[in-house]
Amino acid sequence: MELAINLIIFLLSGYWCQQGLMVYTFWNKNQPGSGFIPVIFSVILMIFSCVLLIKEIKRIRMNHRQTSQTASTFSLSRIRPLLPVVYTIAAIVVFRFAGVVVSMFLTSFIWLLFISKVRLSKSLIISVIVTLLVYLIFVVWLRIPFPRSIFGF
Amino acid sequence: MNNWELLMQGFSVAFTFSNAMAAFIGSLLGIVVGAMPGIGAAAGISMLLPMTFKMSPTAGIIMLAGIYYGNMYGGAYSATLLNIPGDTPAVVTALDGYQLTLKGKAGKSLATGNYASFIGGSIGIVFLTIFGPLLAEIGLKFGPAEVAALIFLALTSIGWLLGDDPVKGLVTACLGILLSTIGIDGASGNARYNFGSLNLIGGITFVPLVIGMFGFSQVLEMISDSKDFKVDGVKKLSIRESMLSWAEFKEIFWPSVRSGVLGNFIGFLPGAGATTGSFLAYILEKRIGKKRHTLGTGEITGVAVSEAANNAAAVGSFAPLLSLGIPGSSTSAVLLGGLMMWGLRPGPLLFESNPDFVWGLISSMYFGNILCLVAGMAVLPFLVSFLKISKRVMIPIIMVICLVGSYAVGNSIFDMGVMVTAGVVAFYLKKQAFPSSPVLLAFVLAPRLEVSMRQALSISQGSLWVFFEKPISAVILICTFALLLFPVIQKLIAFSKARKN
Repeated sequence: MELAINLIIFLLSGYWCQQGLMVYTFWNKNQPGSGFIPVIFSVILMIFSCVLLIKEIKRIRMNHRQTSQTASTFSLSRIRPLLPVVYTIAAIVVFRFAGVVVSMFLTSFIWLLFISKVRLSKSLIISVIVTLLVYLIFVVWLRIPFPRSIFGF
Repeated sequence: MNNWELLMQGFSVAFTFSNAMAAFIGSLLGIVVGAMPGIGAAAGISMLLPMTFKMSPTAGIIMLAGIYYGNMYGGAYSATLLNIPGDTPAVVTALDGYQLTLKGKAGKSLATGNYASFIGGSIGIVFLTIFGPLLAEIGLKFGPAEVAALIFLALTSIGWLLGDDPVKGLVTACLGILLSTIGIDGASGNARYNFGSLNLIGGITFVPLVIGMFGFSQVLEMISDSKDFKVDGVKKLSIRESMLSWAEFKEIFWPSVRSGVLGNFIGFLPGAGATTGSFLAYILEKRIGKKRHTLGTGEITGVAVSEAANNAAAVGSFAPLLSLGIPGSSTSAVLLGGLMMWGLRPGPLLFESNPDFVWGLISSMYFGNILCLVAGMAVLPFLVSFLKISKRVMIPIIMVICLVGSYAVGNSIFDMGVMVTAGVVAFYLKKQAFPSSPVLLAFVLAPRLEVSMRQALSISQGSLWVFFEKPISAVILICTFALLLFPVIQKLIAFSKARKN
């Protein structure tokens, strides 16, 4: 995982550096251009991520030597945090079409009932309170123009 | 007008109904958020930031500041009762606090935390009143070269001090700088790194980024750790049983004052923050305190030094924030973002251009600190039942607040996407021991660094010598390079020692 993160950071900083030099101008007429700061810090980032990459490769090699059998196991705990991510994306889609009241009620209610396994009555009460608070603070008080559902809220 | 008169004027601002209410609500919310295990001040403030949009900047920042120092009070509660610190500065509090709970003295520990927090907070506020304007006066002498050098030092020390590995801290600080370059370049007016997206022309919006990094990533953290919180050994707490005797109060008073002073100065340093403050105060007490031999076995002094130091450091971080525009911690970076959102630019000129705002905020802290002490004692009987709220219930509530809060800032679905992405990235970075706070601090500081650096270089016709010809910037840069080279030198020394052996 760390290897992948460092590699992504290295590639990203490389892109930043290339764009800063080729597109946004690093230095022009004795003055720094738009690419000045991005290039400097992307170069620093490339160096640091390279150091971390080498360290990580060394560590993996050491581990490989110590344990002759290094089976790469796919752990479920790694992708478990992605559950709320998928759930939140679904909530955003519902929010777009069903409005803030319906979507936020469903977001909290479905999670409480089916994922957290909270009793139906308790899930219902908590979801109603949360939705009511969101409505009072953000819609009534702050007057945020949220998307509305067919019911008008 | 002198500081005293300005402070009195500030009290007249702080005691208007809306500002006093903001301080009250902020302190109370801070205590509640702080007591919730694992959420922390930065997450709490970032999630509650959208609620201040309708307020005046003064009321808004008073409320957010109340949340910050209220959080420091609340952090001790879960550390004591659950052995899970509400925020990282309360890690040290848990050492003695939980031992006291196991001995059946949870109430005493919580009351000690409240008193010590009050002492530390008061010291911090007095020092802020004295040193804040002084620091601003020094800041007025800074030109673009000095400002650039100072921000560079701040970024380096932030990367250095936050997290276990300085290189990882510096990597995330650089990432924050690169993220801040997305959008219109202030100097030339050209769009940069927006990948052709209209949504990114204005840059990444601060609030969804912060909510994602600190709020949503917390949800992912809670999911990945399947253990729920449990309050063991305590059934009920009463205020009467929790009150300290005169002898106990005398025992904690001087250590609290000592730690408060130390914590406050630590809070002044960028990146050091409340956690370092409480650790150093505890180490100091271990060296020179009367109870040094029994510290860690359930001593109220242990709780007192940690709480006094972290509260003093939290208030201390306001001094560089208001006077120089340099946040000392991730939480004050969120506050800085909030200030900029309201069109205020913290820095030396803030004391001159917005005295009502600055002194109103400082004055409200005196009032807010007393409120926190009273509220902290008043919530004691309800704490046990409050801490029984399961993580399973908290997760969807936080999720809803994150979603609605990230939309509210710009009425944009895209911002919700930014929030989710920032949360996922921050979570996986944290998992690999990359601290996420430097990203935020750098994101907030980088635009000023860029402007100052480019101004300085334009003035000098491109000569880098401009950063070394003035003594202030030269000294600051030498400190920065020393900080950068320190790990290398340390390794070289260790290597030569190993060779000799």
